[in-house]
Amino acid sequence: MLNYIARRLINMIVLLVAVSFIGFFIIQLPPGTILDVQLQKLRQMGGDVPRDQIKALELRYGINDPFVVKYWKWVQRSAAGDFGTSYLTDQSVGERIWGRLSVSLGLSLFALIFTWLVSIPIGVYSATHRYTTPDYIVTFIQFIGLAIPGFLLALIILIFATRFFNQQVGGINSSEFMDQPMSLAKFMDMVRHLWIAVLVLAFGATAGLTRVMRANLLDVLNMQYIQTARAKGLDEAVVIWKHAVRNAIHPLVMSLGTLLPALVVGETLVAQVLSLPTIGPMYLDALRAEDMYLAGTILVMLSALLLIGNLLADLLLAWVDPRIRLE
Amino acid sequence: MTSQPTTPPTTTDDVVRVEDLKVSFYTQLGVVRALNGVSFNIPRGKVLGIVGESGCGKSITGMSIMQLVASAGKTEGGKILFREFAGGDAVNVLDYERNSPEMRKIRGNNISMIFQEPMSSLNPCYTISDQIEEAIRLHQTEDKVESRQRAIEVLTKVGMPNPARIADSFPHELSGGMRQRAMIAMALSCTPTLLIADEPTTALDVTTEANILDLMRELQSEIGTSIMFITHNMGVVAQMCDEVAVMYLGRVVERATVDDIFYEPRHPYTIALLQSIPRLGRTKGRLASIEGSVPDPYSRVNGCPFHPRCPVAIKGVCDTILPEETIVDAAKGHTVRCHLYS
Amino acid sequence: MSAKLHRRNFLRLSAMGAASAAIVACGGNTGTASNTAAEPTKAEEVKLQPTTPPVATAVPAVQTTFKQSPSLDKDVADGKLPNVDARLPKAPYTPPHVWLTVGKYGGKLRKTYANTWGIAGFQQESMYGHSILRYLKDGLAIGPGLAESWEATPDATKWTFKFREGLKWSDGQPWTVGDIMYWWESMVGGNGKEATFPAGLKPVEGPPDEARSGKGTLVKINKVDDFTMEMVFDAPAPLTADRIAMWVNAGIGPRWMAPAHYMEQFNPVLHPDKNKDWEMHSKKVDFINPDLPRMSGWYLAKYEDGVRTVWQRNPYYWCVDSQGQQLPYIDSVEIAYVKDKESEKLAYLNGQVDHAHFHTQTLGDIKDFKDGAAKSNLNVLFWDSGSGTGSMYFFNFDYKDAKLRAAFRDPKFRQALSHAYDRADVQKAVYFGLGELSNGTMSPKAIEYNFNDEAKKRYAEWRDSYIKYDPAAAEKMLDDAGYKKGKDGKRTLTDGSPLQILVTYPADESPNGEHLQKNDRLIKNWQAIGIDCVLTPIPNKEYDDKWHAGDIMMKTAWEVGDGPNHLVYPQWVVPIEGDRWAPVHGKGYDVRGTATEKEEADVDPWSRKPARLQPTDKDFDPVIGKIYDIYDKTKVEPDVMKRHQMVWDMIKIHVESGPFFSGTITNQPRIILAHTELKNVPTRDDLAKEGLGGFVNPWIIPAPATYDPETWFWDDATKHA
Repeated sequence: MLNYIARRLINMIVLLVAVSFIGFFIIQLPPGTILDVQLQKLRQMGGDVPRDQIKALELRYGINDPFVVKYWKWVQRSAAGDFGTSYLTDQSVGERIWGRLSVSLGLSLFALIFTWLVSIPIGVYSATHRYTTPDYIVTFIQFIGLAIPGFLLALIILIFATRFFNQQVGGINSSEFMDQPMSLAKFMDMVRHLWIAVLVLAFGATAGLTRVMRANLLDVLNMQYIQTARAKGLDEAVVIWKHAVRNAIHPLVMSLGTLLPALVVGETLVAQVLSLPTIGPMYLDALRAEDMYLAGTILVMLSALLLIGNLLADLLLAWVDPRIRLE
Repeated sequence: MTSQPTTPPTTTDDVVRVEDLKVSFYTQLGVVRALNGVSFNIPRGKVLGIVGESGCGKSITGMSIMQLVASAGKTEGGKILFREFAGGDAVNVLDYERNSPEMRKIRGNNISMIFQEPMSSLNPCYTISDQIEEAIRLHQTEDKVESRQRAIEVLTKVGMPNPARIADSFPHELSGGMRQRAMIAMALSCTPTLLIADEPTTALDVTTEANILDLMRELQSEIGTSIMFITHNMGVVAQMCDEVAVMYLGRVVERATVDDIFYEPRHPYTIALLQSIPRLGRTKGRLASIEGSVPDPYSRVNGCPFHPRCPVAIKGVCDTILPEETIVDAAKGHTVRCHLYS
Repeated sequence: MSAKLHRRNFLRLSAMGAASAAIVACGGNTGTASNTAAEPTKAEEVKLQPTTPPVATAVPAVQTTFKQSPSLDKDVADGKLPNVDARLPKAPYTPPHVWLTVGKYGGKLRKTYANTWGIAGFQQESMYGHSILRYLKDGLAIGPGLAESWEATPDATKWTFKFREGLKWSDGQPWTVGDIMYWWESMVGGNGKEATFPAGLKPVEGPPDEARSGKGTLVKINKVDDFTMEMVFDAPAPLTADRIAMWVNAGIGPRWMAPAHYMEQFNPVLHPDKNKDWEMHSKKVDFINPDLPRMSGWYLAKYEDGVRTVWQRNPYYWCVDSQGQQLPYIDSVEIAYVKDKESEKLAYLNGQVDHAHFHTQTLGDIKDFKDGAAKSNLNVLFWDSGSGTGSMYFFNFDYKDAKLRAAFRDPKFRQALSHAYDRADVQKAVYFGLGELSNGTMSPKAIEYNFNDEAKKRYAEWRDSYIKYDPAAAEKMLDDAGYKKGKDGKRTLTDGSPLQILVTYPADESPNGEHLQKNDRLIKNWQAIGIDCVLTPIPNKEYDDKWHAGDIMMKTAWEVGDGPNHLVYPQWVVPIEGDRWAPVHGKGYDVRGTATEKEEADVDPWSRKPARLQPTDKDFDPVIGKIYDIYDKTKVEPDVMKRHQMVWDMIKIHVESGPFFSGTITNQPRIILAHTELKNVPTRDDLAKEGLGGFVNPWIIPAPATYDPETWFWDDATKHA
């Protein structure tokens, strides 16, 4: 087992190096550089940028360094824990990511827990009450959830909420709470700001997960061992929750593998609409502006999270289902 | 349906007495009348074999006794009288809700069941001991140590080598025969009054099958549990059963002792079934098969349901009138549903 | 003195109602050779505008009665802050606007920004605190800033700036000319200091335009004393004051200063032992660094990436109101980050914002704002954009293909297409009928169009040329010029070869934006007269390179908003760089006087690196040559009236041989949202009384910094805490 994990970890490092190199290469592939973006910005502000100024900027951004040199500089520094500077704001990359990570993770975990708490019971209900009116209603809502893009839903809810509940637009706290230490009031204020995001993120995910849960559970309920369990005299609820759900939950556990990176950037569009300070929109901006070090660092971070997530999912699956053995 | 429920002729104490049981399945394709008035009894301490082709309703009958028929199946009439102790009061299990505490108290405790597929009838996520202990703790004792001890005992009883180790194994770590032993252990863990075995050996190879049958027979005599043994295999019937009920299209067509079935079969269907068994020494020629096939389950057949396939059907009689259950040998409790004997 | 009389005349004639005597004097500085001082020395001038608060420097008595915000009282009492007299310079600046009333202290101003940099960009458009000089009256005048007076020698080769004594950074450290010298010598490498930089280290910023003389050579900046700076040029540099007044500086446009006492430690030139490159220095000097000391009315107290910025009152801010109360009135400014345009609009309608300066909201949103006023409490104000063109188009005068280039250079061809363009339709559909139709000019706010009746006539002439929508006349012009219709009804080039115009635009333009909506209508107008044209998106990042090389036919998603003076921003009138209508000429002009000019003489101009045309090339256009000749003279002409005359001469060429760029409308308004209880925010009428009704578009005249948000206040600050 330890052997297995060690081997997986070594593979991961090799993969990460490859991913970072290729990722870096792709990020700088589109024509133009961060300099063009900055110049465009300066020009939009109405200025013509003097030649001397452009030269100074080129030098500052190391525009004329060959790709490999840029990459190597970044790798060297990253190894020492310094991921470079974000050109867009002149802050350190680590600082920018760190500043947003907690909100990203918090929001996504919230949404995830919400999703699981809602979709598993609903999926179970839907499967055990197949072809009943509630099942049809649930199915209908699920298809709506799958069909409406999250950002649109966010906008729609936001408009209604501002109109009817005096919802605050944007951010995670009202300004009067921003400088205060955490308290119940501040937490409630945060809930007031984040509920739309959690709802929207969870709604789409719930729709998909409920479908999966329903379909799986239907399969499992036809298995002989469910009859065995019933034949023992177990209460139907125990049969469903202890014997059926545990066997139907595999895909949910497998989905945990892709979850870690999704936790960090999955909410991009929704966060964009709701103006939440999460990593997703920052990653998008970084890619568009070719903010190399920021984009590259996030990319590698996401890849690492994906690999770690998969490892954890495999371990978890082995725990849930003894048939899966780790050699 | 004019079938008049007649009291089965035996007067000994019955564990279960099924009277005119009717079960239909309402599906999108139509109504399937799975049981059309099944009546039989299981004498205490005996092994009753239920035989018949696939689709004749023998499994449904077993499930009905357990009240485990899928929710699409509706019980539309009849009684299932269960008598836990000899001379005790009989209860009609159909009076209980499927998931009621009373029914659950009977299930697994008084009546348990073994299924056909040992590969899939154990939950892959739990150890053997977990699954056996679950039943014990539900019905017998809540003490963890004791339940564990009993689980190992019962595993020992079913002849598991190294039962303590097996107890902590997961189903996928065991062979098919071992799993079926484990299933039997689970079924017997609460020393039930009745064990319903639904083709318990069909999926096993011949050697294993023999071992399992031996084991069941042995345990039956040791514990005294009555067994309802559902099978389509006449050979197994001969080996296991004391009495036999032959089913065709949701009805019991013949009911007799195992000897009478083999040596004095009356119903043309029983005769045809017996002719389809391969026998040692009779190596030449094709094995006889029953002409035609079981009718489409959604259609209804007038008269005797077997008449389209019956070699001795009487025109004008068998195809119009449903034969009543007729006693051919009251002493042995031999009954048959056929116009030839009415 | 005669020059001075001229100036007074034109200011009085310019129909601007009120202006302080100080502004008159300072406005006179616009490129003058002989300025005395900012103080109004003649009593009659003060009498002319009795309602206007006099500049504080002129009323020394006020100094004894300076007052501060009560929010600072405690810090002063505790000894954490010096008292207000010690924090202010000897002669603080007083905003002179006609609409100002004396305000009250306190409260908070809530704003949003929808773009990444804008969250900190409050400084970049709203606070003139780092400016040496400033524009007043929508660009008609130049006023004092950190410098209280300035003068130039008659030939405009030496400029002397006198700064306010006792200026302090927001951390209380004194501001001196040394802070300018730090930027000039230790960041730009001016005064020859670049040669002393450690090996491999290049300057981190380049010298701005105002650091060059008319001949293009760099200035020598001398620190005479802590409050006196000299700029010495080798040739006349008459535009120095106009250029120094541009931008808010210190984060946008030329920096001009940095807090040396704070920045020196990060400087790799001064401390090569501690810093091997500029990286840390760049981080620290960035406006989003809360530790960076400022000169503006509010300093950045918090920068929370993706959340908000919070700005707090700078207790050392160097401006006071007419009663001697230190500005700003409002305690703090909180700017929330709202990333999505629609969400931002919701935030406005939801009453979460006190002021918004046109960024993402367009004229189409007006109705929603008016309807939502009950909840949003926002007044919708219209300030003039000062746009010269609205959405515009122009051909690449230096297109690589010789046959098409000949058409694009043919004035008749361009004039015919201009007559075929139905501007009124676009004005109605895209601009809600606002603005005036225009052929496309520099900003109508430009001084050369406004200072007297002749100026207005010159402007109207350019604006009205070739704008009559007359497809029949356009067809006749094209027929006469030889662009005849072929059998398929499509017009050809004069030699009969096919003519297809690719109406190119950057691929990321918003489909509902004004430019693409205009383009849709434009090509229909042109197709109607037999011009084969196709909308063609080009990836953004390739646009510039291809344009410079003459590979792209048109630019159709731009707008001219520049003033306030044709000569500080001449690129639209004179092709001196590569982004506008004559890129290859522009690049040629750009390398004049450099070593590159002589290289590749026998190479085809479009194959040179970069592609460039020089006067000796056969494809060099004589009309552009004429413009260059005039422009070169303006750069060393100290007399402002002569310069205006030269600008008119160049405009005449644009009218006769143009249009080189074609606009749609001029001066459509911009939406400004301001809380109904926010005081001292000017209306368009206020702006028209003092200046030109607003001039919002260009960053070189940074609105609303030009209207001093430090003077805005809440009547009842407790409601806006």
